[in-house]
Order: sequence, then C-alpha cells, then structure tokens
Amino acid sequence: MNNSPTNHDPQRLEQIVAFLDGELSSVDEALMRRQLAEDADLRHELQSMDRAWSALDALPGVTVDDKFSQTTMELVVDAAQNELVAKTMAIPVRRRKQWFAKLLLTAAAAALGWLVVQLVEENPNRMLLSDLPEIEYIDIYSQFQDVSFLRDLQNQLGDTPWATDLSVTDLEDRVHEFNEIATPSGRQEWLAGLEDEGRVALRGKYNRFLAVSQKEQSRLRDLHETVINAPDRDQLVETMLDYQSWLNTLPASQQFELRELPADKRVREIVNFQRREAAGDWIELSAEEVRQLRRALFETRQRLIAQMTPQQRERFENAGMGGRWIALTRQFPELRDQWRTVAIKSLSEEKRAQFAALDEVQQERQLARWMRDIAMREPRERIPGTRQRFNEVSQVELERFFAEELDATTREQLLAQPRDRMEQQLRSLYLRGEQPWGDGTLDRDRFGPANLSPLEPLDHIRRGSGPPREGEREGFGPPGRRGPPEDRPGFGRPLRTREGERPRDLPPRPEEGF
Amino acid sequence: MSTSQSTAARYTAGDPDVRLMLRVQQDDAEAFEELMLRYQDRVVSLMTHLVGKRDLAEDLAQDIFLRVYRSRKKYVPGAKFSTWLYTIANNVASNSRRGLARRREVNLVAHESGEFTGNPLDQAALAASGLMPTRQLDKAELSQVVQMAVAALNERQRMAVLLNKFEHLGYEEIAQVMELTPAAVKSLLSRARANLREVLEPYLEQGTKIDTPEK
Repeated sequence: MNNSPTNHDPQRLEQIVAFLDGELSSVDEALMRRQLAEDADLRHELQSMDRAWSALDALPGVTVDDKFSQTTMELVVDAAQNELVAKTMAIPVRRRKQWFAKLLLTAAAAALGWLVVQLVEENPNRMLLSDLPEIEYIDIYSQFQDVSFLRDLQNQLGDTPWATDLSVTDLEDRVHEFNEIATPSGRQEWLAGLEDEGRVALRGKYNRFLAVSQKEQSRLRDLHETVINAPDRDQLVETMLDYQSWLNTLPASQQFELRELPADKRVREIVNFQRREAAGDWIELSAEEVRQLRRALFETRQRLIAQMTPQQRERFENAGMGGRWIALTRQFPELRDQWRTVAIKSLSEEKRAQFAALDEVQQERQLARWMRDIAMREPRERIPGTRQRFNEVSQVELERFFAEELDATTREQLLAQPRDRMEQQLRSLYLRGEQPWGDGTLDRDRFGPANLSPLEPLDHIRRGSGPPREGEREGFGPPGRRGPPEDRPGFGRPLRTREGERPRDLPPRPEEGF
Repeated sequence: MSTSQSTAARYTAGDPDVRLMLRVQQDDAEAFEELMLRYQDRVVSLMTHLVGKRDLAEDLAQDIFLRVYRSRKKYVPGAKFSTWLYTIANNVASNSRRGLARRREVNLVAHESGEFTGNPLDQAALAASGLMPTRQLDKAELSQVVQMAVAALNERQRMAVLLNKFEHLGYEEIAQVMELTPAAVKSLLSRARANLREVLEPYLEQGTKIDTPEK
C-alpha cells in the first residue's frame, strides 16, 4: 500500500489527477511540472495514478447487435405512432379548448374594457350617486360651515318651534328621505323613484355642485360625513331640515343677509326670529305696507336730521350706520311717538285693526321690530376699511333691490344712466340703505356738492357717461331676471299663494331634463 | 436555462450530431437511426459498466434513445449532443437505480457514503490470491479485477470515471451531465482515481492481494 502523503492530502491528489487529465491552468501545470522534477515521491505518486487509470483500458468494450438497433427503432416507431394517434385524438379537444380560450379571452377583454371605461370615463351617474346627499342638500349645506352651527341653533332654540308649516309628519318624511340617501345603499333606488320634476330639480343642484370649487365640494362631503356620523345625528338632521324649511320661506334678500352674518350672530338672529314668531303677536305686512313704512321712517329720520344742531349732527355722523338709529332715538325721544303715528298711518285698515287689538306692550314691541327690520339694511358701513363690501353685494341682490325696493321714478332715473354709472349708483343706494326720495341733505353734505342728486355717484368717480359701450345692452333694462317685482312681504312670514301650500323660493333651476 | 441564439448556432455549426438531432426534431427518421447507430455501442457500454448487467443495460439504453426521440421537439442545442445524451443517460440510470432499490433487486455495489470499501475488492483479491501470489496477471484476469474495481466505486464516482475515461468528457461537461460544479467533479474524480489505484496498484505491481482498508 502506498503511504505517500498524497493519500492523506486530497488537494494534492486533486492537483495530480487534474494534471493527468489536462485540466490544470497553465500556471498550475507549470508549478506541477517543477514539483515533479524536484519531488521523487510526487513522481511516483503520479505514475501510480496513471498506471491505475491506464488499467481501465482492460475493461471490455460492448458492441450491440442488429437486434438491438431493430428493437430500438421499433420502439421509436411505436412511440411515433402512439404520438400521432394521441395528437389526432386531441385535435377536437384542442380545438374546443382553443375555442373556449378565445371565448374566455374575448369575454375577459370585454369585461376589462368595460371596467376601464367605467373607471376612466367621467361617469356623471357615478358621481351623482357618490355625492347624492351633498348635491340634494347643497342649498342647506352651503348655509353653514360646520355642525356646531346646527348644535348652537338647537341649543338656543330649545323648545321654541320653527316658524314653518312643517308638521311633525312632514319633518319625519324629510328625515326619512335624508336617511334614504345618506348612505350609498339606497341611493340608486331613490334616484330611480324620482319623478320628472324631482329630476329636473336634482339636475339643477347637480350643476350647482359642479360649479363650486373642488375645495367646496370636498367641504360639503366632509360636512355630510360629519353630520351622519355624529352621535346626535338625528337631532342635527332634524334641526338642519327645519332650518332649511324655514330658510325657504324667506325672500332671497333675507337669505343673503343671514348668510352675510357671522355664525353666532346669525344663530342669534334666527333664534330671535323663531321666538318672535312663537309669541304669536306678529303682524304680517304686505310688500306695499313695508314700502310705506320704510318711506315713513326715512322721511321722519330726514326731518329729524334737519333739526339737528351741529354737535348733534357730528355725534350722529360718528355713530356709524348701526348706531345712528340709537343716536336718533336718544336725541329725539319724540321719534318713538312720531314713528307710531306714521307707522299706523301706513298700515292698511285690516292691519291697523290687528295692531289696535294688541296690548300696549305688544304694540311697542311690534313697532320696535318694524323699525329694526327696516333698519336692518343699515349695517353696511361706508367707513374706510369696510369698503370692500361695496363689491360684495351680489348682482342678484342688487336686482332684487332694484325691482322691489326702488320706486318707479328712481328706476327711470337709473335706467337713463349709462350702465356702469347706473350700477354704481344702484350700489350706492343699496349700501346707503336709504330711499332716494329725501332731500339728500345728508348725502350731499357728506359726499358732494349741494346740488348733487341722490343718484349722483358718491365717490365722484364718473365713469362711462355717454352712450353705452360696445357689447353693452342698450339702456340697461331692469336687471332683475325675475321680471316685475313680486308682491312679496318684506318681513315676517311670506304670503302663501294657497292655503296650506308651503311657500318656496328655491333658486332657479335649469330646464333641461336630467 | 435559456440558450442564446449564438450558442445554438455555434453548436449547430461545430457538432454534426447536433445537426442530426435538429433533423430528428423535424421528424427525420433516418437522422434518428443514424444518431442511434453512432451512439448505441457507447451508450450500452456506459450503462453496462454502470449497472453491471448487459440485458438491463440494453433495456436502459433503449429507454434512453426513446427519451431522445420523445424529447426531440423540446431539444435546443445548448451543448454538444453527447452532453445532452449523457444527461439523459444519467437520469435514466439514476431512475433505474432508485427503482431497483425499491424492489430490493440491487445487484450493484452502491455506497452512498462515497467511501471506498473492501467488499468487492475482497472478492477480486480472493479470486487472485487463490492462484499465484506473485504471478503476472493475465489479460482476462486484469479485466475482471478492473471490473471489480470499477464496480467498487460509488455510483457518482463510477459515472464520472466512465464519462471521463471512455467518453472523453471534460470536467465542465461532466459537471453539466451530473448537475455538479466543475470543482465538485474534480474532487469526485480524484477520489475515484485514488480508490481505483488503491485496489489496482498491488495487482499491477506485484499481482498480490492488498490489505483491505478498514471500514
């Protein structure tokens, strides 16, 4: 037995074998040759390995006979035949499979296409369904910023009922309707059950929803989510629907004024209104009666102003619009009696009888409220720093003011002006909160020369006098899109067209079908 | 593993057997017959030395050629044809060995540990030592001793030795056939040759029995 170190050194053995097999790299091969030249044991090792390897040549070779070849070919031919048979049999199955595969592929492609179209294409119905509550209740949701407004209303009103004709059953119906679409599950059914008129109305709301900014849309969604997830959801929804119902009884001008108020003042105003209504001693006035009252009140005021001493005048001027009535009342205690006299004179016989039926306290309260409601237009200050309000008055409100509150003479005078000048004067009149029938002493003294008509621009910026510019309407007809002024009440509950019919003053809706 | 077009083109150009196999792929029966005739002796010889039985070796060789035919459509010339053929042969031999082991019909000496043991060697030594301890081995006897020595290798060593010695496959090709690394083949072959030398050296030098290694 060979006891050379190679037997115990696998790496050296591997190198010898690889050398014999010619598998060494040239460097390793050269190294091995050097070692072989120097190491007799290694040479002996290599020779013995080579001898043993060469001995394998003694293994007998194998030669197969023809039978092997023949049998193998027969096996292959059989395999080929079987393959052919299998293929032939598989043809219909394969065709069927291919047909099914094509069918499935087509169906899958169609489904995928439909899905892509659904996802990618702007689908109005999908958006409508998704935002249905915000769309349907956009008017009321636009009225407040967060649910704390509703909670304040609810808390401050307490048991005071809302001044609407909404019965308990009506409210329940509205709450039910709200709940129907509050969550997505019932929206499709609700929409399917909508009649044509409802669809048209919904279309209008949908268009209004699309017209507001993305941010506002997002706010409306968040607000709705907050309402429906609030722990006091039922109370919030009832308050909101009551508020909406009451708001719809107000003319657009009052809705606008309410919207302009800060939330806390608005709550206070609304609550006061409801309480006043609940007291049941409110006398509803017609629009004409309101006009007469306004005219009487402002005439009285102008008369008293004319009687002022320079000091009184200064105090009056410095009191600001909101404080002027208080200043007047303090300086001229007789104003109260004069107001009573002129107010009663302005009432129709029927209303005068109603007024006379009230006790003295109720009469005083009624007179004070009339004065305050008429003076409600006064908060529009003209002092520097608040002048931006000048431009905040909406066109709709101006149109209403033009149509409802100006007399025919003033309207004619306004219409005789170029458009931009007329608009400026109209805004001035609106912001002054005064009818231009007075002698204009106050405004002349304050804003311009003595011979300036009340319709003259207050800031002396004469713009656009002369013929209308290109593209302007000739003569600028009545700006109101609503046509002639309606005989709508100024303050208090609006008149009802028919007994039991709920008054509505919804924003105009598009005529196209939904 | 995918084969690049350039590799396929290289083997197609350099190996006539690859070109024959590509004809077989096109259902050319003559090409298959030619391939079979070229390789049948070598395959049967390889399987005979692997499994030790001629009839079983022929059956396995037929199975190998049948698999070549059945695999023709999937054939990609990613190596020499012989490499691909011996890969199939290695798989067939392995399957056969497993099947035989399951049926307890193993006639081969299979030592999975890879360590060389003296059992077949004892038989060879016993056959030789009963004659003349110092005589010159004749050719038949040498053949018998060499067969015993080869049979004494484990399966993997035996396959590597046969491919290297008789099919002239390099370490890289053997590695491909046996799914090993070239370094593993190098190690495998060195151990196989050491084992062969250990068995054969006494006979080659003195014609005497050697001491059987301790287990």
